Amino acid sequence: MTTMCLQDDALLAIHLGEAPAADVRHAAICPLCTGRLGTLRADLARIDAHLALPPPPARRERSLRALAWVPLTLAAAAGLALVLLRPHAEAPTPPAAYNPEVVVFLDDLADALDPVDGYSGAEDTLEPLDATGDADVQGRANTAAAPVGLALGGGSTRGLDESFIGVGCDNGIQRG
Amino acid sequence: MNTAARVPPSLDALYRAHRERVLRLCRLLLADADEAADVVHDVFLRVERAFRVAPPADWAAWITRVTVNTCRDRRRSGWWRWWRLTGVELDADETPGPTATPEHEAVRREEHRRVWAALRRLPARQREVFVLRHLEGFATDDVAATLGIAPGSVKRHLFRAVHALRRALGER
Repeated sequence: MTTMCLQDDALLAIHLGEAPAADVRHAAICPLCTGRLGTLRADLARIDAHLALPPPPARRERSLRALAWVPLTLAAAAGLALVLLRPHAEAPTPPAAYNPEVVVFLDDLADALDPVDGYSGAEDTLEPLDATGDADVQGRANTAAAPVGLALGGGSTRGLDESFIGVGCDNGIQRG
Repeated sequence: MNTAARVPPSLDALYRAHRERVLRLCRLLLADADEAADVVHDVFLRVERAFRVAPPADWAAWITRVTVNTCRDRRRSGWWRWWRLTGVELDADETPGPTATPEHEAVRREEHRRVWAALRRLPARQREVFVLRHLEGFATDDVAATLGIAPGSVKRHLFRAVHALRRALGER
């Protein structure tokens, strides 16, 4: 095909009677384009002949291709069911009622807000935190209302049920 | 003004004048004979309604447009897609012709299947343009008006459709 020859869409336009006169003239004198136009017309005639007959039914292979999804779908559903319906091996550990570090913080906060309550000026005499603080925390761990009590000025690093008598006295003399 | 041209045809005359053309259009647009018969029924129900309510000035163009739209609706419906994928194969074209050899008949059947498969694979717009412009012989401007697209788009869709169908002829 030379550069002057017609493109396929121009040949189709000639076939449909919509081409410019120049294209029609070229197709009439160019053997190559004449041949291609003849091939186009022959192909269209074959296509028309087939389309004039009743259409064949859709091929079964298409339904088989659709069936290929069935095992995949079943496998996915089974996997999902296993994940959702599997019995738990052990009961989930309930989350702690409160964080012990928070208890200590609230305790210290209460002291800072109300230093007069109970044992003002006695900080130096408190037992080391290792000894009392941990016991304190452990002792309150079972009391759900403990943090609230602490926040309301419930005292210090000592337990709620412990007496404050003697706390803060260097020489063992009770106050008040 | 020509009053004779304004006299509406009878419903029966409309049916007789357009039924074959509508059936052929539906068969080509849906590529299925049974579905085509169903859609023809739907089309003439709409014709009957329009005949009573608001008769169009140009029945032929109106019926063509309704046919194309009804086929498009049917193709879009989920039921149609499901049916196309799972339809049972009942080959009505199994019997070879009286003169063809079995080899020729097999080749012809295979080509027949390929051409219709290529038509089914065409995008809806290309198929509509090919059927109306090439097979039904509508003018490009009429196809453009019926489908609501530009004449240039009609030519482009037609070229692509012809290219795809010719390629189907060449497949082996």
